[in-house]
Amino acid sequence: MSDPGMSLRVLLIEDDRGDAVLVTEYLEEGLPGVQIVWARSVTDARAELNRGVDCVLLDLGLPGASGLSALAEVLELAHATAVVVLTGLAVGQSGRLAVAAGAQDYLVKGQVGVDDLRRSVQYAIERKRNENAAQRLRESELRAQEYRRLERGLLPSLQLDSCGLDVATLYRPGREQSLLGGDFYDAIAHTDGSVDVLIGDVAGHGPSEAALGASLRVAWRSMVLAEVPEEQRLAALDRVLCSERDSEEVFATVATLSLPPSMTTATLRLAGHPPPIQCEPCAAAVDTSDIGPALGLISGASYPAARLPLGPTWQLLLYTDGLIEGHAGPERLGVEGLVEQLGEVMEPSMPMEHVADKLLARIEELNGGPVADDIALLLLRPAR
Amino acid sequence: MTDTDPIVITPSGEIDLASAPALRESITEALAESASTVLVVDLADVTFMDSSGLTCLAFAHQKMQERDGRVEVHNANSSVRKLITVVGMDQVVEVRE
Repeated sequence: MSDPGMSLRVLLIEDDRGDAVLVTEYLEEGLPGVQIVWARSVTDARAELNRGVDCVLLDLGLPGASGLSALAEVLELAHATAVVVLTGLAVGQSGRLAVAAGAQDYLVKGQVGVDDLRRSVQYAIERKRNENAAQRLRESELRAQEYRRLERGLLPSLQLDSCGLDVATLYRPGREQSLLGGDFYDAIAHTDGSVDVLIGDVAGHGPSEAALGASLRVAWRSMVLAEVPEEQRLAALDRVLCSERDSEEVFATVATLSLPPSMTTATLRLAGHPPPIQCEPCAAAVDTSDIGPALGLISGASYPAARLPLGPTWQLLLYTDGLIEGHAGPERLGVEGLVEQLGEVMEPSMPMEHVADKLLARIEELNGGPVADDIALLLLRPAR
Repeated sequence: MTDTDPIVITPSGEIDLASAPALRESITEALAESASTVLVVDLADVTFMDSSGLTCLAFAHQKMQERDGRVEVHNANSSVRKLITVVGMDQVVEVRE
């Protein structure tokens, strides 16, 4: 077993040379290999505290400062470091007060042996580590909550039960889950039986991209509910993006689909977004040259409409580019690879959610694990 | 090198989520070294690019706009060129053989 003091750095803040020599001896005996730095005051200890130590042993009887204010100063400089305070016999409550103020432990001078000191330092370090870990956990939980809130803004639960469509949605955060993406989707069913669908992707990753994605989705939803004509929406969304983005370089790709009550044709508009894939009669990407630029790229751009004829058994896949950017052997999957995979998993009798899950499982299998980027997809077909 | 020579950067391999930050960094460095108004991003050795690469091009375009300059993309392979075209980036930067 290696020495318990190996690689430990202890900072002793003690004005009395005799006490310092004694504590140093005890520490070296109890924790062989320990590295001890001695400072006579908190001011002298400043550089060492900034550099980082495992444990601070602080004399509460330093001249010129009340003990607890010295402790507060140490904790401010090194809030993640374990602190054990040393008090004199006559000081009564000060040890307990120091622990209440943030020290991990206290020892009474003159009543401490080698073992007491070793145990106290080791416990203090361990306790502080646990505290720090708990603190990090709380912070990551808060961040996760924040992400969940943003994700709800990007990916609403759709109310499409009575709209005559069978819809499945799926979202997978990228492999680097700390990077929240800006993928978003939405769909709205109208009382006359028509349906509007949106999918999009703010380029880049991070909370501001996610917030922008959520803004675009809500802006689109507001326009649809306010019955802004379909042909005006993307130009308006482009203006929303330009006014809401942090920086001029930010852009977003979007696809919208409007289905009339008859569901015999659809109006597709693309702003720099990959065309959807039609699954019937056989899987193929929608072949259209009617593609506008991504939102935010060119001011005053137009976003032409493509009309898609829909057969009685039509099915459509709308997706964000994370779905085609995974690996498939040495190559990337690409649109052709996605079309092929979809053709293989699609079975007319299979519920849409299962098709979506199976498709994603295939793609992750080919990639050898989750793909790097976020993936959002929407599968649509007439309800049976 | 004078400020009238175009700035040329030549990334290689795959430009994706993992490598895009380095490309952005090299664009920033190259622009700091020259006041030229033409930035050439030569993609001859780039085998794959995803939307992260497009964000780098948009970033470069933005920086060049600030000095009344332009970005040219040279030698992109067919899949990279297709991506640039679908997103409409070819209307923002000049795509050349």
